[in-house]
Amino acid sequence: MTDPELVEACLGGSESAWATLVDRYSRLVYSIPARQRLAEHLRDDVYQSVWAIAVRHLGGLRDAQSLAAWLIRTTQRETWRIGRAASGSSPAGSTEDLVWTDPAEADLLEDRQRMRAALGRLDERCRELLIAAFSADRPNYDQLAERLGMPRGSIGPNRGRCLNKLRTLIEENSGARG
Amino acid sequence: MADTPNQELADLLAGDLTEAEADELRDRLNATEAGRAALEGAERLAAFLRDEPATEPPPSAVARAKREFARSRPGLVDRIADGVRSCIASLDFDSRFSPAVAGFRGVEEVAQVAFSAGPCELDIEIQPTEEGQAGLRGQIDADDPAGWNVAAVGQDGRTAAETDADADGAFRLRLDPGAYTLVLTRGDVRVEAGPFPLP
Repeated sequence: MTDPELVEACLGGSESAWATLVDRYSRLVYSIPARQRLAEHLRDDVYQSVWAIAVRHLGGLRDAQSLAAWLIRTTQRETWRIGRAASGSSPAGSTEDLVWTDPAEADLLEDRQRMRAALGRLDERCRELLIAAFSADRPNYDQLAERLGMPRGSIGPNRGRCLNKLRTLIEENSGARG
Repeated sequence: MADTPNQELADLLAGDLTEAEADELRDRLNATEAGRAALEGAERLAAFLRDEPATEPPPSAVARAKREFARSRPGLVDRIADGVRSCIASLDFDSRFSPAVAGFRGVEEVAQVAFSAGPCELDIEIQPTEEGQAGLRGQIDADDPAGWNVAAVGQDGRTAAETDADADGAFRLRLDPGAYTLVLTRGDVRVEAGPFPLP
């Protein structure tokens, strides 16, 4: 279902539509206070606050051009508000560094949401392989091969193929939007 | 895209190339516009994949977010038979019941109450008048704040006072002590805020 269809279903009282909406954008919302290095309990506060605001504004979101953009703006504002309340200053250090006014950061977050949507369409094995292969800690390829049930020598070629699939899906999504 | 060396890019971004191999590949890619774009795109993708595991919220937080829908259901807009969109605003804040401002509580103080709903948000200040009534000063925050009618409906269902908000969404009402629901209407939209008590 598209975002407008989900919002409409929520307004009709569908709890499963709301759950789908939360699942679709959970990582986007949670990533924003995480990128601002808010303490874990404050990230949870931001996350809860954003969804509480979203459920109250569903009527207004019916015509939203981009739900992702609205969630980004709202989460950035809540990150700043909750971070500042907790520390007495903005999470970025000063009120002149209001991250929610940074369009480049918002563009990056929207870009990542498109990548996330494409990653969700990959088969599970490819998804797991890519996440493991590009993780900050270099993976143990023997363990990874065993976990994924593929020969160790196939990891490299499969990683390239999976990366290519992911890029194709992202391009398809971008094409569908444009 | 077809001539982009995906395998080499993947090796590069996963850190599987030697320094010399990585430098050679970067130089080769940076020599053409298409190669540069492929490298930048792949680097963005690799950064995303590296950061993605840290973006998963705790399952308990997700479960709470999903429960929020049932808890806030009164704030949702429903369509009713005559085509009017009606909703009940949820109470966001009442300074009279907020521990943070409990020290300021008192009959002489100005109380602040805030509601929100899909079509609008509503802020109200309540101040006792010398005549023993409550003076309400309200502000409607909506995409277009003009043209709202505001009615204070008592517990008996009767309209105790009514006014039109000005072009900025501001309005004033005077009410006797009691519990009231403010009914905001504009066109086919109707928002109910309350009931809330007045001293």
